[in-house]
Amino acid sequence: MSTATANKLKTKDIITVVLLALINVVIFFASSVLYATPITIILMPVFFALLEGIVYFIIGTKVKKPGAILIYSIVRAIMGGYLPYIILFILSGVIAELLLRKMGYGNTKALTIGYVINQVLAAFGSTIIPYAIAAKAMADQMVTDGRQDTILAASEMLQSWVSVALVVGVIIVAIIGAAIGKGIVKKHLAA
Amino acid sequence: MSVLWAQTAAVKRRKTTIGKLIAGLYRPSGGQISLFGKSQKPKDLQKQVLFILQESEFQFFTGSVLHELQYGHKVTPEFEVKVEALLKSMDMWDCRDRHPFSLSGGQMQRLTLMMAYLSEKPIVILDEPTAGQDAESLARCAALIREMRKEKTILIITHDLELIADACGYCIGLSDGRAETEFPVCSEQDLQTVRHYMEHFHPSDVPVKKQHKERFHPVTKLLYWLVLLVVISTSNNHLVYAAYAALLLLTAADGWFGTALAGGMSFGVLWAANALLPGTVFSFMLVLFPRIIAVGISMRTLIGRNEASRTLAALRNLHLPERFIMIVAVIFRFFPVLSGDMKLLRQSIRTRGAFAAPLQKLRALPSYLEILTVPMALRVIRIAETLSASAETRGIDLKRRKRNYLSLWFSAWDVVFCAVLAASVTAGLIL
Repeated sequence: MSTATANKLKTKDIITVVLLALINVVIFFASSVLYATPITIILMPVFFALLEGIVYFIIGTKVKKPGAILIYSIVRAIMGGYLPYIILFILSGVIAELLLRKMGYGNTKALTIGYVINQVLAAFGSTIIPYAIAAKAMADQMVTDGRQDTILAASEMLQSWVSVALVVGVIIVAIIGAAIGKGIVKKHLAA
Repeated sequence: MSVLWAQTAAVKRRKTTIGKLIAGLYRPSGGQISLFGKSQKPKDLQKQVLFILQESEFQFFTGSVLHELQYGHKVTPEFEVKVEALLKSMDMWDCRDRHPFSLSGGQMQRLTLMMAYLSEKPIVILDEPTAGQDAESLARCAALIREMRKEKTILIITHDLELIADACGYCIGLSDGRAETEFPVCSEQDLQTVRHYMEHFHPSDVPVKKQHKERFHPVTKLLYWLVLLVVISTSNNHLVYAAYAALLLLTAADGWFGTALAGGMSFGVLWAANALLPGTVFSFMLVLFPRIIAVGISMRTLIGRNEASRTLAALRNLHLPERFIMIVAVIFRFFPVLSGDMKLLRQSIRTRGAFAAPLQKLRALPSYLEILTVPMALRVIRIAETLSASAETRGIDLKRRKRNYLSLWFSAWDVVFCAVLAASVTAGLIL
């Protein structure tokens, strides 16, 4: 069998990646209670950055082939059901694939960097952009209603320094999430 | 000790449900559960009752058989001696360093039984503990259960007459979630009575569920989903509300009355809260939440009930690549399965008494994340192996085009809905 054929995703690889991706989707849906308040929505990307690393690393080390992380990103993105989120999540998958191609499939450094980028872009898609859109939509509504509003100021604030803090927080927590993922893969899937 | 059983798979869920109610894993919708004459809350029940799930793999939290048996216990020299004797009696001593997920199904079940034996809880509920066991394993399990009976109250949910004969003293027959009959199991004659009762159940007694008739072609719903993806990404509230209204009409017309009502009421509550307290956080929620709720509802109309098969058939009719359809099929089929698995896992964590308080989860966060994710990951890797073998056997890699076994037709409902959707979007853009 040629190397190219051996390195191509087989049916088993695709099913494995999709099923593993679904675990993160299920966790995402199970945690949708975090959408209950505007404050907890801000915390969502940090929470997911910690949680999703395990599955990401299991996929990256179990299926060391081109396309695995991209398929994960597509499945995870589409189940999010929000266009900016879908685009950014898939983009993160493409970046991770390029990194893995350069540094080697299964390379933990490439996976860590890919995972951090993935979580930062997901934070934009799941929280920062929806917040910005919601703030803009609310501002339009306020003009229509002729009301002055303090929450608008808060939303504007969220678009500035809180977004920066959120991205920094996501990067730090994603590195921790990646370390947890790496450790768990070593413990349970080393063979 | 008693054994609970029901006659058919149709009512099977009821006895597991009753077991989980007794174990405090479900909150009763009415009435109360008393233990030793005292009414109990679910939290109190969890402290006293251990529920051993039928799905063994969701109950393993560590990396080896030995660690699994030591989990949650103070490991003293006496305890180590007890565990060694137990492993040897169950023919598992040689497996003590193996990862629980590398065991066979029968070995996994024996491991869960040993965990129950070592548990300090006074009541143990075993759900189908001998399913798929050979005669020798069954005899070992029955012997361990008899041993457990000396110190604990054991409830077994089973259809296995041999296990009833070997390990049980009392039998309760369930029908439609209620105790229909009770038998002592002391003699051969008692066993014959149980056998006779089990054999004389007629599946036709179970009411047949009314079949739902689908009104919309899946392509119509896919079209709506694509429109929604664009609409919710804009800041035009009127457009979002118009698309939301169209979705509620589609959902109600398709027979999802409860979902449509819940969607309508959620919007009503948000609108009322914003009207009563304008300029507060509710203004923000009124803008953001309909977007999130709409995504959830539209996904449900695409894959809920038996819509997944129809949506897949529609995708195949669109001549999309077979690999893409396979990915979508796996998502549709296994998303509900894995959602159920996640619930089982959380029940398993609760019944084993791990991370009882939220603060404990925070303190041992990596361990909690590990327990929450690894059993599911290892399980899906197993499923993937079986599923891919099945898919390859059925010719997934063959070049010929696969046929649909479902006929799909566009109806007047589709035309009406597309017109409503177009009108809604236009109205939203103009307003």
